[in-house]
Amino acid sequence: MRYGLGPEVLRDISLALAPGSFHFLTGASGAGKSSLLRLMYLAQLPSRGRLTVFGRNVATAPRGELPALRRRIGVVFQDFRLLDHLSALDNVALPLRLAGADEMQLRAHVVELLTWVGLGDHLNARPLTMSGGQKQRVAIARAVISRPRLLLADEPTGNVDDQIALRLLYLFEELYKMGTTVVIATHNAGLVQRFGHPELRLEDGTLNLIERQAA
Amino acid sequence: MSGVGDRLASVARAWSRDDLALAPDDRPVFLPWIVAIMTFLAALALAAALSLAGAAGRWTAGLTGSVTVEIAAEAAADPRPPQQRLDAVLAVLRDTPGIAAAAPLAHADIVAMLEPWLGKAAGASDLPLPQLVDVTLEPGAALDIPALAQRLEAAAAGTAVDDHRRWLGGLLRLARLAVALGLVIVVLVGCAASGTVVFATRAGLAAHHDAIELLHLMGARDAYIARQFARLVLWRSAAGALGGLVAGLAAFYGLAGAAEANLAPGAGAAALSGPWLGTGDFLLLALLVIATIAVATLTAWWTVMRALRNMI
Repeated sequence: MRYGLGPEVLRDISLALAPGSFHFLTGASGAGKSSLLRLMYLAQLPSRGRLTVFGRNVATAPRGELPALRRRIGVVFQDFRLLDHLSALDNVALPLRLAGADEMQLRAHVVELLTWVGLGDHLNARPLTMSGGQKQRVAIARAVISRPRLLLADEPTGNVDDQIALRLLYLFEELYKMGTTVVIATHNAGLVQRFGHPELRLEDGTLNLIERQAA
Repeated sequence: MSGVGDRLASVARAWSRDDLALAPDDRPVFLPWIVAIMTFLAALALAAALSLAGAAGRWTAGLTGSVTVEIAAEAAADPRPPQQRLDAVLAVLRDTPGIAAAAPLAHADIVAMLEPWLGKAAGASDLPLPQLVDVTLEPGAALDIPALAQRLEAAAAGTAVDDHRRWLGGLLRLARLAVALGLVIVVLVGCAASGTVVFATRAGLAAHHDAIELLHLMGARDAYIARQFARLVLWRSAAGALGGLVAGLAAFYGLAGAAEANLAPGAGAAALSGPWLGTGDFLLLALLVIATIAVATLTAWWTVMRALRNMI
């Protein structure tokens, strides 16, 4: 994969994520973790090769089918990408509203999740008034609210303390146990060791799989 | 029935959604003003065109059912007194099939018609004035004007028949040209308004690129995002178009009133007599507003859809 006419960021990557699997994606800064995630959440097409998501070849699938595929993917962006003019509640509710969920049920569901991530007192707060950690939790809540089949998180614990990081990882674990496929890009070696899920390590644009046991 | 109701409610709900919530500082605030100016110009041009078309219609209706016979004051080939020549002409006219009535104009009426041009001199007794006969045709009658003219000339030399076609034809051509010009202005203004909306929408797209990409990645369909921009443009163009129409009509009636007040009493005022705009004309002007709003909204929709197609 390359951006425009630039150099290849990723090459010779062969990867199949089994449904209901949990992987950590690791690698040095600039190794291509975010680029690989961009491919997975359909923000980018590979410049060559084949990308299949939920059994559909993305390169040949009609463009009209991609929104439905994207709705089955939850993404936690490294820079959160919250809409600043919306409250925490409305930011988290966005995926459900896009899917046409009932407004009354939607609110109860969103309030419950925001309370669970410790933001029950910040339902109407705007992102601009929140700390980095609070924004990150809103971003995570938004990614998981619609119970995606594939959850991709780019450094989801980078701005929170260890206690919150563990709590969030347990949330991802819960989703994993319920059948969600999870890929978490992280620099946090301690978390990778602690949970013992397989590690996808990116080095020099290529990918290596490292199996682990929980510590 | 409830299916249709549910569908309408669903469409209304979809159009009321404002997830992008365009911020006040980067909304296309100038759009209503541009649309107002465009609609003002288009309404003025259309009102003028419709008014002229109406006047032309009244001229046609008023003159096609009649002809005027003019008997020269003096004719060397016919030395009879004027009254005898008039009687001879009236006799021919009354014997001609298709003519309902033939009435000579009183001398005072002829003087009154000439007064705007000749002043009080028109009433001078030594001024040789022709005699005029106002001929009313039966409805649908197809009169052979050249043949009638020949028979009248034979009855009284120096007689001419005017079926108003020359005068009316030139005036109607001018009116049709003005109407066409007005419609061309309306179309050009419509094109300019569409272009403005394209640029305003593109500016909005650039300002909200991140939010649009986020919605796109979360699975929002292109139509969902396009609807948010189109909805904003709908309300803003509606405000501008209505304001422009009111201002355009006010300017039109102001100009029309001024023209009426400055026309010479008589011929000019008579030519423009009648209402400036009719009910049908107002409906067309309302249609102009609806078309402006529709063009602006659809242009915004199309611009966003086209831009989104460049994303995978």
